[in-house]
Amino acid sequence: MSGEELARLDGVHKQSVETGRKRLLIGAGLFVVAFTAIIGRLGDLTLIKDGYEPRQASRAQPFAAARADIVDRNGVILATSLATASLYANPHHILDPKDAARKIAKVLPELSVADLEAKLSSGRSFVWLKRSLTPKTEYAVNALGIPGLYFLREERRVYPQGRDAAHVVGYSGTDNHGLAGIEKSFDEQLRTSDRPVQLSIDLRVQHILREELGAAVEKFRAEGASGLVMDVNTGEIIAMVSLPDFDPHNPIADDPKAIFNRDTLGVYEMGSTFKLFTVSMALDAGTATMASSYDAAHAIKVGRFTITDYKGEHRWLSLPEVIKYSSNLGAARIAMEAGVATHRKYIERFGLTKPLSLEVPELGVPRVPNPWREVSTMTIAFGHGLSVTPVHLATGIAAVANGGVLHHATLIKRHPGEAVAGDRVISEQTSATVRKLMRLVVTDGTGKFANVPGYLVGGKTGTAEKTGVGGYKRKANLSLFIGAYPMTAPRYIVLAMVDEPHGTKETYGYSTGGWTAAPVAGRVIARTAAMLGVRPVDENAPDVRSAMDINIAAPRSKRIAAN
Amino acid sequence: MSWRATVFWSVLAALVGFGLFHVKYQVQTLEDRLAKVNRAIVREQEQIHVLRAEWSYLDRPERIEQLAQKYLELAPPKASQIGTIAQLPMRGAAAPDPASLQSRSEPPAAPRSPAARPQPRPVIVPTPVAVNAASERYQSRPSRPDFAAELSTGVDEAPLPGGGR
Repeated sequence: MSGEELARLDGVHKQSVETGRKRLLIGAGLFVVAFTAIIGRLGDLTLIKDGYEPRQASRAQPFAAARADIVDRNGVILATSLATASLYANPHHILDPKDAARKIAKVLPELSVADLEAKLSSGRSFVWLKRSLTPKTEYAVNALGIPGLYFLREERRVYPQGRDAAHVVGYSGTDNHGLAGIEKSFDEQLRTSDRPVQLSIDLRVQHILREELGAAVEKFRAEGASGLVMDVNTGEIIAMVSLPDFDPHNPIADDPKAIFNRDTLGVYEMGSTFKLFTVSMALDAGTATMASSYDAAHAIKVGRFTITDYKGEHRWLSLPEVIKYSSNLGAARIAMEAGVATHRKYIERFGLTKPLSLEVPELGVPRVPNPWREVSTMTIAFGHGLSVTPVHLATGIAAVANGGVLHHATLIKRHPGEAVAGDRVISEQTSATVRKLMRLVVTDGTGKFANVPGYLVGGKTGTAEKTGVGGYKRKANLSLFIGAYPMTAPRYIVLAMVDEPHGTKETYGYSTGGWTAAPVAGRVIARTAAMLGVRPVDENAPDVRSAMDINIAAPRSKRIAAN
Repeated sequence: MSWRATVFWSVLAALVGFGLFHVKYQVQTLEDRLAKVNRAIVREQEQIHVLRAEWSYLDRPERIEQLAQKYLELAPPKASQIGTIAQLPMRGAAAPDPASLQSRSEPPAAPRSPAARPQPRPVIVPTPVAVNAASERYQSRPSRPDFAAELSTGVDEAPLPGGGR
């Protein structure tokens, strides 16, 4: 080989080594980049991102019931869900159905042996034996040691307060679905949220109202009763009772009529209590003043109707006297002077013609006369011919008493200090005047039994004849009283209504609102006013006297009155 | 030289392996404990839930009413029994005239059963400081001695008297 040849070969060799080196370098470089990326990612994952200790504690699933609680305005539980064990059997695993049935019946005496035996020897592989056992009976069944018996954890709705707030809270079925009351209307929320539903109800007041209404039902051998306490300034319903009531744990066991909520679903003619709306309307529209007077001596004949007074004075009455003596004739004449259109406009403004927007599904629709004739205005003026629910009446009277602003009734607690929307219905001035009239009814009129010293109760009694087949039933009354207190600056409305009361010796046979319902309202106020934080006032203090001062002078003669 | 490296690396690998397994088992034990504690918490919460339901069952007005009638000499307060701080006499002042405490116009509420309680009970429970020995009969004497101490400590808001049934 020549030297030249060798040198050439050496050059080729060197070149290929050089190429190999370069390639190696590139490969190594790639690996360095890849590993750097991996190391970087590792550091990022382990040290930088989520570098802190994982918060294991937050993983703990808090206990959640299938349905949230319902509580009253003070947080007292009205409805809650408790886990219970339900007993079922797999008959295939039962060795001796006869013996098992006998043993189970000993522990659960409410189940019959024959029934159990039939269930246990059936060919199925799943039979319910008993739902919702108490822990004690669960233990007893376990102690029997029978193979083939199993427990399933179920949630059962429990109402610790029993019947006290049955109509408001409602009830739910075994499958945990609300079937009535708040349980139904808030069903979705109760099942999806853990937060309890807080009602505006105050259980203490609720209990007292139920107790007093129950006493009235017993005393007057009445068909039933209903009543409510409402915050005048917010529309919150503090208590709402309808009697007869039911046990929410077993609602179907009672009389089906007991489930009917008289406060929200029942519509009634409210009798003389409507006269407050009539005078509010006339005073606010300016068609009457406190000095106006009306012919209550002569009956009004309209078509086939004749309007008379229950216990007539048979003379001309001043406007305060129309309220004091509860004169139908006076009220009818006041409404007619204002005119059908004005009267109707105000009745609509008081919310008496539209269904309620309350948070329970049981809502009654007012029965409004159609067409609204002259005679309708005359009769509605004293509370006949227009049927509304007790909640309608309370909402309207609250607006009359609170300075003239209508707030929608609610069963859900409002936050203290929350601004409450409302519509002005009558002027503040009119409201102050009508408050005096309401006080007059309790001091000198038909509502004396509702008076509670120190709390300046004012209100109006009402007695409506119940409508029966083919007209009004003479002897069947619906007696009610609606009041507010204290009348200088009302805080609460109290409504009591007794259905078909019978007069007693003590009431001299009377079954009117003043004798039956007014005492209930009075006792409820006496027992709950301090609880609700209403400060008693000195009725003889000069400012109170002047605020309640009223001139009820009877018109001297027809001639003057006619002016 | 190379065998040293081999030993070094294999020892390191063994140590790391051991450490890994050790930590793994420790984590597993801790996780078991955590699950157990979580279950216990839920069980505890469930029990609290049950107890709250039971509490509100025992707390229902109907029962409290019966117990109060049985053990306490209390009745719903009348308007005349509620006063204001301003009505209380100054510290060290002479014993208040009973009439001044009864600022309301109506006469003291008549007891429901006059035979059982001839004396009208006090209007406001006076604090020991504000009342001299002279007004001994205005001292509230609750029927239960263990409540007596509790009642007499109330200085600001005088509790309602246990009278006037």
